Amino acid sequence: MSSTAIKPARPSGAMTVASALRLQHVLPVVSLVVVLSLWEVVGQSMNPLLFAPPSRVVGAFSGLIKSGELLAATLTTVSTLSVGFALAILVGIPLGVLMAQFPRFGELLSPYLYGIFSTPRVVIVPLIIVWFGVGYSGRLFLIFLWSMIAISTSTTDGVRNARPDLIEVARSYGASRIEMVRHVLLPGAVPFVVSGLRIGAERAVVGVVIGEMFLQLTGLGGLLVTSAKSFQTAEMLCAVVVIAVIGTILITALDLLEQQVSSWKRRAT
Amino acid sequence: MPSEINTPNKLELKNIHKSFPTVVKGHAGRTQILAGVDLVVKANEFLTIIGPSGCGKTTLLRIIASLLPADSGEVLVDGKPVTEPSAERAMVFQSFGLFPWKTVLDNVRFPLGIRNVPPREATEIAMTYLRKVGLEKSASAHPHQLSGGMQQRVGLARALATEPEVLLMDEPFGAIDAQTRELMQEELMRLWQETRNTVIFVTHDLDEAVLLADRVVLMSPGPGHVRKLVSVDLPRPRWGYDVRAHEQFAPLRAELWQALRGDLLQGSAAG
Ligand SMILES: Nc1ncnc2c1ncn2[C@@H]1O[C@H](COP(=O)(O)OP(=O)(O)O)[C@@H](O)[C@H]1O
Ligand SMILES: [Mg+2]
Repeated sequence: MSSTAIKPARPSGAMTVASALRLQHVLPVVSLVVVLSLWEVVGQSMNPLLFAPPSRVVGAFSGLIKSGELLAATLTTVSTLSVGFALAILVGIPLGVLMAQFPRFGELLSPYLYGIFSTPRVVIVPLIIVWFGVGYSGRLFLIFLWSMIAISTSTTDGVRNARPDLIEVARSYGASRIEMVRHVLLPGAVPFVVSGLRIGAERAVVGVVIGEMFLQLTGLGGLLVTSAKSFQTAEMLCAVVVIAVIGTILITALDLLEQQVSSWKRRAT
Repeated sequence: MPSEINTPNKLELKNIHKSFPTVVKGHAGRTQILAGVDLVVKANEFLTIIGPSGCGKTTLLRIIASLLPADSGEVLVDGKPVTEPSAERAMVFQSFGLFPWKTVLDNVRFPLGIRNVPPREATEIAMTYLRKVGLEKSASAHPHQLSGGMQQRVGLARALATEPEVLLMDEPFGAIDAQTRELMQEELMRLWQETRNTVIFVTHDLDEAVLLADRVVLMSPGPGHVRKLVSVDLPRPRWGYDVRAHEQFAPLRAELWQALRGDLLQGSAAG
C-alpha cells in the first residue's frame, strides 16, 4: 500500500526505494502517535474507574516498576511461557512427523487433537484443577497442550505435503526413514512448521494468561485480575500492554527464524 | 565393448510384468503396463531405450532401481537378484530431483552421507565430480540459481559420485533446451568414456538414442515390451566428429524410425 501510493509521485529508482524504506519506518510511529492521542482523548473523557488514559498508565508503570511488582510478574509469565512453549515444540514437531509417517496412528489421534484444540480452554479449567491442582504444572499444561497441538498438526500437514519426486530420489539412494525425515520431509515442511509455531505461540500466550487469571493469581495475568478487582485501571492496562509486547516479540522472533531457515530462497546469484 | 564375447552380463531383466490398479467406469481393475520384458545388458554397455510416451519406460527404470516391485519376473545385477534400492543403481531424473534447500555441494554429498562416507572425504569426492561437470565454482549455490543444464549436471555429478555399477537415466535431457542438450550429450560421452559404468538411458529423442548408444532398445506399448534391439557401431569416442553426418547414422535412424512410426500412429489412432 505505502510504496505503491508513493511511487507515481517519485518515478526515479533510487529515490523511490529510499523514500519507501523511510516510510516503512515512519508509518508505525505515526500510527502509534495517532492511537495514543485517541486513547488519551477517550481516556480523559471517561470515568477513571473504567478506563485510563496513557498519561495515567505511564504513571502506573513507573509505580509498578519501582515496587518491583511488574518485573516479578513479567518474569513469572515469561518463564512459564518459555518452558511451556519449548515443551510444545519439543513434543509437537516429532509427534507431527510420527502422525504423518504412520498414517493409521495419525488418523486415530487427530480427531482427539482437533477436538481438544477447538474446545475453549477456560471450559477445561475445572478439569485441570482436578488433575493438576492450581499450581505451576496446571498452568504449564494450559500452555503446552494447545500450543503443541497447533505445532504437531501443521507439521503433519507439511510432512504429508512433501514432494514425491524428492522422496523417490532419497529412496533411490537407500535413505533410511530417519534420513528421509531429516533431509527431505522436515526441510520441505519448514513453511508449515513455522506457521504452526506462530499459531502455537499465540495459543501459548493466551494459555499462560488464562492460567494466571483462573488457576493461580500470579504473573501478569494475576496482576491484571488483582488490579481490576480494586479498580486500578491504569495498573490493569500496564499488564495488558506488557502481555501484548511479549506476544509481539515472540511473533517477530518467529518471523526472523523463518527468514533464517528459508534464506536459500532469497539468495540471488 | 558389447560385441566382445567375454564381456559379462551386468544386468538381466527376466520376464518382467507390471500392472497398476485402475478404475474404469466405476469398476476397479488393473491395467497391464509391462508384459514380459526380457533384456540383458553387458558390463560397460551404453544402452538407450526409446519408445512412445506411456509405454512403460519410466516404470521399467523404477523396477530396475527397486523403487517399484514388479508383479513377476526378476532383476539381476551380476547374476544376483536385487530388491532394495541402492546407490549401486543410481538414477538421474528428468526433473533433476535436486533438494532446493541444499547447496549444490550438499546435494552431491547427499548419497555419500547415506553411505556413511566420512564428511571430509564426501566433500572431496563431491568436489571431484563437480569439477568433472564444470561446476566447482557453483558448489555453494542453491539449485534454483542455476540453469536447467547446470542443474542436471549436478544431478549427474550426484549419481556418479557414488560410482554406481549401473547408471539409470530417465530422459535426463528432456527438459533442457536443444543446444544445451547437444553439449550435455557430448559431456556425458566424455564422462562415460572415463567412468565406463553400465548405462541405461531412456529418451524420446531418436537422434539422441542413436548418438549415445552401443545398442538401442525399442519398446512398444500395449502392454510394454521389447520390440527391437539395434546395435550401433559408430566409432567411439563419439565426439570430435559429426556423428550425425556419419554414413551409418542415417540408416540406423531410418530403421528405428520405421518401427517407431508404426507405434506412434497406432497410439494416436487409439488415443
Ligand atoms: N504409480 C502409478 N499408478 C498408476 N499408473 C501408473 C503409475 N505409474 C505409471 N502409470 C501408468 O503407466 C503407464 C506407463 O507410464 P510410464 O512408465 O511413465 O511411461 P513412459 O515413461 O514410457 O512414458 C502410463 O499410462 C501411466 O499412466
Ligand atoms: Mg517416462
